[in-house]
Amino acid sequence: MQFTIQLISGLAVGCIYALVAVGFSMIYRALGLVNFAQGDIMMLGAFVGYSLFVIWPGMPFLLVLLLAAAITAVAGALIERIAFHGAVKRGADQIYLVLLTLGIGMVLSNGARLIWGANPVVYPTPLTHEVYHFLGYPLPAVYLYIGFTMIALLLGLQWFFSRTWMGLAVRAAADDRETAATMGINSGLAAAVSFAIASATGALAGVLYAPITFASFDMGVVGVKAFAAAIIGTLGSVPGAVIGGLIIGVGETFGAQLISNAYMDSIAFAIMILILLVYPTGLMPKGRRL
Amino acid sequence: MTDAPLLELRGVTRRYGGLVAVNELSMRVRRNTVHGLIGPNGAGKSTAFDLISGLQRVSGGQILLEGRDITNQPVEARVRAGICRTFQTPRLFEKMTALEVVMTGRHVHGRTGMLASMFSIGGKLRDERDIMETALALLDRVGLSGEAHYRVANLSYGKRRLVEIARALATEPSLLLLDEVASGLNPVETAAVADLIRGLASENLTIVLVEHDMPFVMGLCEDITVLNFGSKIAHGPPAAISSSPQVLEAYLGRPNESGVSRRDRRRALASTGA
Amino acid sequence: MTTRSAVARRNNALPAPPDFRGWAGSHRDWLAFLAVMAVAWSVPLLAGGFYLYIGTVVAIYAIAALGLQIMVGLAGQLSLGHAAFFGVGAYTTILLEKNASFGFLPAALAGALVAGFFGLLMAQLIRLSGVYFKIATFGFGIIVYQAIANTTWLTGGHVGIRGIPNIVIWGIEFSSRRDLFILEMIALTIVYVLLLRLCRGRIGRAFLAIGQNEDAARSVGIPTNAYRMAVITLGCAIAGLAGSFLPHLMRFVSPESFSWHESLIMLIMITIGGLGSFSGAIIGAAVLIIVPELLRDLAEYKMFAYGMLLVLCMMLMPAGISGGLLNIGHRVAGRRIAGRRNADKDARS
Repeated sequence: MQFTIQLISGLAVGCIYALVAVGFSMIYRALGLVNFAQGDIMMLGAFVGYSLFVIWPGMPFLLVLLLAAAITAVAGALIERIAFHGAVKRGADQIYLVLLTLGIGMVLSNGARLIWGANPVVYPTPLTHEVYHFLGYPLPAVYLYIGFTMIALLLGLQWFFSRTWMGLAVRAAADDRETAATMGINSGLAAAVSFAIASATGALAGVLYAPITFASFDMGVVGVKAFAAAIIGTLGSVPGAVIGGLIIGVGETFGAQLISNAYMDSIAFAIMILILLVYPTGLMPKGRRL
Repeated sequence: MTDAPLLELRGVTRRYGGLVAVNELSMRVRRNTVHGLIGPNGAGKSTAFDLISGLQRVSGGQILLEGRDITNQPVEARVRAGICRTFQTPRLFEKMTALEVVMTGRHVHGRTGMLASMFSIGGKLRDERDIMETALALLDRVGLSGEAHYRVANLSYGKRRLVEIARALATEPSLLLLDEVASGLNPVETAAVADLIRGLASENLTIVLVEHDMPFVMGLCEDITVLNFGSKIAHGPPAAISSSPQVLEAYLGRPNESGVSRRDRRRALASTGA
Repeated sequence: MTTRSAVARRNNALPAPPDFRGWAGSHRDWLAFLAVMAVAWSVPLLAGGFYLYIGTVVAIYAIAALGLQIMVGLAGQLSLGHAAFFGVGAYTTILLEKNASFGFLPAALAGALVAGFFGLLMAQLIRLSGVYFKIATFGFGIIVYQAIANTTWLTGGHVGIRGIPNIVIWGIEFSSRRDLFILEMIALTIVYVLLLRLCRGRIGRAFLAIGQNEDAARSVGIPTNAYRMAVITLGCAIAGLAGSFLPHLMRFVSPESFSWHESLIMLIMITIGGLGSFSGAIIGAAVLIIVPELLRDLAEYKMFAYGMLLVLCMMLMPAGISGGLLNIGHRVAGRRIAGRRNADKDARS
């Protein structure tokens, strides 16, 4: 019984990691950028959700989820426009871009600390302690939302990338910017859209994670483990990011039992390094598309 | 002066999954010759260069340099053994000056290690001075003595090409592989490069050229190997190649299909671009 | 042989054209060294008191920054876990001094070696390409940090270790602030000189080549894998050496000084100073340590300001402070040889 509870909890956390990792992979695919601010975007989403609850108490969770995602998406697009667009365009060195994203992450997390304070905040919604019971197993209500969101997101992204013009444009611009431009695809727009979507998924992760624990300005660290997830699943692959997230989530939960709670963060990266030693480019086969 | 080939490929093959990029290629490059490697686009010429220089591993076959099997040697070892190669698009160290780039080419012949770099004074300075003098001389050789202290990022395409050649020469190769060295150059620059190559060939250097520019190849090479779809289809001196039916067919298609006379096809082949 | 005949030809040709950059240009690095060291040595000694303390802190972080600079700025191997090696050096030194009665010099040397060893371990990951390597270094840093923080029986965990013995070298005790500062500056000067010598030579050129175009470096015979491992090991060992001093200054050691935030700060140091520049690494270290001290009251905003600083620097001034100074220097030098082939100046480095 204990095992199953752990497993479910690991899967739930794994989904959170997966959501952040998906955004991370998308940005890498679209802009060739390693976005170390992804975790902090998740944090931003969590706080936006919190503020929504504060402003409109009693708002249905689903609405908060969607609104937070939308608002953060806009913020993400703005960040891309202002900070990254110029640098990526002039083909700046990888190192500069990494440092740029690290800086943005710092600005976000410390800005959040200045705005919302240094203390962690709990979502003012009954959802935080609603628990269902299924076949004798306790199932926090949030887990249902997490599962539902994951499925909806994956289906949505699949549809977006293969059925909509914008999705195809993003994929084209990611593969070959210049040729895409000759086809009338505005690579700048494609980049902004990618960033917006990635920010939205990050925000979803944040809003879904906050009810489990709380929202705090250094939540971004949670997102950092999502990088390991994206790497395990091969950078740039959405299904890979999901698989990676689940592996880390479950591995971490059980690992903490076996080794020690204090090493939780290490476990994620240790798993990552071990997998990389065998599969240097991650688990997904090379050339695998969306 | 021995007649043994400097470079020999025996049944060299390179496969990517189902695709065969180079198919059982056997060729011999004689010492002190300029040897051309030509063929239509996608024929496998650059892949062949990658295999010879060590950038890619063969899927089968052997590569011998001066009779020694180098098939499994890494790039670094092959450079030390005397093979050096330039790239289709020059790969330079953008933030360095032309002189510094050529100086990196002297790496395999330098003697100063890490500890010596830090602690030795006399020996290191001598080593450095030698390296700099050699590099300056090589830049002179390729005609860039005025540009020695210019950042390579600011040099024109043709000059960047020359810097890469100078850098390759700095490794003191016995075998120089030039990958489409004339591409992107105007006629004046092309003629200058042709002169340079002729000069180098007369100085105990063996050169293999991958090239598209027909007059360039025909004018410079003593031996030509023609590839098509990864396989060798012809081999011989320029005159034989330019009149070989297989070669004409590879570049221009079968005579009956295009309806063009043999003489016109030869003319077409001889003119620029193939 | 082609090159010999080329050299002979040149020696018989016209005299060499003048070196436009002049004496100052080709000895730029050493001039920068003198300038920076002169300031670093004199200001704290003259101002005394608190400034001696700050000067020592700057010197310690400057050494660590130099180690990071050769890895990142020169050879292009981005390490996101540098502070961990800083910590390995600190803990190794202190544990040997306290538990095994090592003298400071052997303990510090051991600290550097152990840190270098861990660096070599991390360097095994270089067969991972680009991004994967960067994140692996990040993960490595986190694992080492957590290992330090959680092996309580050895390191005291988050509580840290107190009761740091004084530095004793060959019978001389270094206990006063002044003593520590001088010792630290000697170490910094030696490291800086050795690194400068290393880099103005064949090996340094090879590192630069690897950093700028690894494939091209391979194609001229530079053994890139071996050299990448070497530069990472060296950089981490230097960080370990720097770390060995820190506890003696702070009078205690705890894992907090070696977290991932600290790694980030070190990266910011070498970046705003100017990637690839040794003087820049030291200037960057100075800026990131002195400025927060001056703005103590605004400590709340410290990290936020760091972030903004980094972002703005990356967007507007990618060449960092030393790059900016270099531009000014060029403009000044340019005026002196103005009129002589002005068109060349634009093309020059």
